[in-house]
Amino acid sequence: MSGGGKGGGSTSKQEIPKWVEEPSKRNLRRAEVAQQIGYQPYIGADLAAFSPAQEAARENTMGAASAYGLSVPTSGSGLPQATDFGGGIRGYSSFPMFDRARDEMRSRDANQAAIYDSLFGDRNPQRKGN
Amino acid sequence: MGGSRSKFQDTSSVYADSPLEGKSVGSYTPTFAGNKSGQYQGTGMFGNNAYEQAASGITAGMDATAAAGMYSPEKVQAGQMAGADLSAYTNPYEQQVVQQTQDDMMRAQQIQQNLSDYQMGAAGGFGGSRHGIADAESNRAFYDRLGATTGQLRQAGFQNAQQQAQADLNRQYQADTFNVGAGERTAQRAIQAGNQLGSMGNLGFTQAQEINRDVRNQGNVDQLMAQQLIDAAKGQFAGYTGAPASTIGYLSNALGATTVPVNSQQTKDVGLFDYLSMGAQVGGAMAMSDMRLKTEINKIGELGQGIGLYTWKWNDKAYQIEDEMRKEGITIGNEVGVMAQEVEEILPECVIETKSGYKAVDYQKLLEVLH
Repeated sequence: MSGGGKGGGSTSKQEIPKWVEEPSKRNLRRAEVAQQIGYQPYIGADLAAFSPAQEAARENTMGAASAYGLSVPTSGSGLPQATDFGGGIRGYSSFPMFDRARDEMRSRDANQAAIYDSLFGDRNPQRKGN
Repeated sequence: MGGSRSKFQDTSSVYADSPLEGKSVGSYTPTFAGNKSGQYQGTGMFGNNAYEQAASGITAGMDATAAAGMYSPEKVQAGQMAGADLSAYTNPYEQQVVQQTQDDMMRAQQIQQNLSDYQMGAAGGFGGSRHGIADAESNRAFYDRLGATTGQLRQAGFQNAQQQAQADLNRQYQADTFNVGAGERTAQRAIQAGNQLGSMGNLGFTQAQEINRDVRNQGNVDQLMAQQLIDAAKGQFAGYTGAPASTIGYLSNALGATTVPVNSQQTKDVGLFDYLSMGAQVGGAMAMSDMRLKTEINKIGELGQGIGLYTWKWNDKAYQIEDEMRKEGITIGNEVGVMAQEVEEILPECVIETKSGYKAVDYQKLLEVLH
């Protein structure tokens, strides 16, 4: 008698060509390595600072208000001091705020931070916190 | 005696501070530290930049207008001759003229009297009563003339002084009247100048606003370009750091664009019912199944309820009646299935008897019952 019982049974099988199978395996190994990289924050400029012409226009506007006896802010625009990123680019980076937020998270909940880091798989010894 | 001018309110101090007098005014001190290199330095009178000049101009215009509004015309009073001191107008040589005239007249009178004395002496009447009367009469007439002449000279001098004083009064009045008009014209000019200053201030402010807007717009363009550079750099960095992960997808992308032949094999383990179904599908719903038409019968399984599954071979008789059976809608079918006699004992509703007397099975109904 044939196997599979009274109702029988069926199986299907698909064969992947060798020339696809081998590169796919290598790609998977590469993905496993890539996931160890972790998150790399961008520490460059995010926002361009006021241009000199904008600063001049701002001073002119404040001067106009002052000339007409109106009150003007005495402490600049309220923005932090712009950083010189070289190449004539002055601006602001969000990295310091990101760094502080990450440190704050680590100080508040070290276990949570550790879970994040373990999932990132980042084992860079130069990375702060590892 | 003379006319007088007096101000109802002294506005000299107001005019002294007026910007029209070249002095800056204003109740505030601009705090903007302008005067940067390359900026218009202006005259220094109204500030260093256009805004300060505009504000100062408007303020100066307001001050000038206010000062002009406070202007009060001078009060001019007509001069009076009554009680006037005319000594200043008296001819300082009048007394000399009068004295000289009197001396001249008295010398002429003396000459006349000497002549009269001589004539009296010649007539022998010198020292007589007639001579005395004649002298007295001559002296009376002389002094009458002397008094009249002196009086006329004095009168002429007084009238001359009076006329000069009157002329002075008239000139003073004209001067005062002119000065009043000049004051009014000055006030009017101050108002006009104030209006002009205000207008120029507004114009300067508007122009400064437009220029500053242009400066700001240019600055916005500059900043936008810098921002675009930053964004481009961020994109480069993101591309660099994300490259390892993004390359992982290259293979799937390539496979998505490539036709990949896949060998597919499907295998099936046949069950008893599959055979039964196969018999029903190939042979039709009604199939010959009489065991008398079969040979080499071999039981291969149990379908349930005591009904077996068999294989066989059709005998010659089966083929002989095949056409007749087909006319009744009954086919021969595969050589696998059930035995009609066995089914009839258990499920007689699934078995029919043909005109030839052989039995056939309704496989469709049998499958429904068994499942």
